[in-house]
Amino acid sequence: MEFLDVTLVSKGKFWFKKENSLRWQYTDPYNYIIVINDGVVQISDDGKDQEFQVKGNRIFEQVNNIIVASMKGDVIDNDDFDVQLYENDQYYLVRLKPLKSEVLQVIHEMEMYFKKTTLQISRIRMNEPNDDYTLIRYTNRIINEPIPSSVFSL
Amino acid sequence: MSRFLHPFSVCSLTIFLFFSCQPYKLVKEEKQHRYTVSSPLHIDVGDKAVYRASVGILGNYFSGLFVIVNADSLYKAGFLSGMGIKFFDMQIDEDGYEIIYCIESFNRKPVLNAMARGLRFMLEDPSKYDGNFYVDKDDDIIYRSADNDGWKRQYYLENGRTKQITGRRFIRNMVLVELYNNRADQPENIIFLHKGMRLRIEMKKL
Repeated sequence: MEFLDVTLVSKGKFWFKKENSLRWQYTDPYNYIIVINDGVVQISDDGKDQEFQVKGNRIFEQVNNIIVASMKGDVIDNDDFDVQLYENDQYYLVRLKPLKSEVLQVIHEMEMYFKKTTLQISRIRMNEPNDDYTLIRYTNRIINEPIPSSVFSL
Repeated sequence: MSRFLHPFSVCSLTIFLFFSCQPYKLVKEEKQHRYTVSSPLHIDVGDKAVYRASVGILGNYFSGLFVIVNADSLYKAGFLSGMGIKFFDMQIDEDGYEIIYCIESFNRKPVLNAMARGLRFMLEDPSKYDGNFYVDKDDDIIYRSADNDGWKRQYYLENGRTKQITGRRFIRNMVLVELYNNRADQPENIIFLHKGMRLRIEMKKL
């Protein structure tokens, strides 16, 4: 957080299963779980659970869509963003600028880094309009292992 | 007619005086027991404190992390979502507050006013109001703070919870600040409730 001159670090686990199921679970500094399955969002926050439709929240919907698209490999085929491509010797960078003004108020642009050797997403950076950003790094990746369906519900 | 009105008027006046002056009566009594409180209840964030927080505004609910940074008595506060996106940040000092950034859902001046005032109350060191503290017969601390904008506020503790006393009885407890803690001088759980704004902030220190 630029204004506060503070960097906050959260850690957790991330599961994804084709087509649109994901679980985003923070374990540090506190337990917080977001599960998205069949267009329904479930959030568990300190024992308080809530549920709503992804479609009811435009910003949530687009962030979710772009993260899912980055996993599935069709991030470029997206009408909601202006897409630019860059590369260096290690990464492909996909820079996405939201086209909808309500999303643009919250997310100035998203940068997705794909490792050239594996073509897998390595990190996502969400830049906000005020110089703040959120950086998501994916580490300790396990691919194509069976995931029990119970993971995608609270 | 005048014979009929007279007792009615006296009765109305008595009722009016009874209800409208009750909070002041409480403080007036305490003036006899005035002394300085050495460790008044407030949030001492040190250089920085991080809280897990949920904020309800006008029926919308947000949860995430609430960060407070102390830079030489200039407080900076920010609230960001679980996914990392910032909801707002502001700075608070003795003269008031300034919103640096705010998403649309929070961008309502009365709400931000109430939130900033609540934070300022919780953050400012009440010891600078030496002489304005009172302890009543039940050991409840009552103190008044005077902001630069002329607002006078009175607070008291009830069962370990700090509550604001407003000037009129019928809106008493409209604003409720609860600072309760496991340690004697450092609240770890905070609830700020403003019923009029349908604003509720719950914070738990991480």
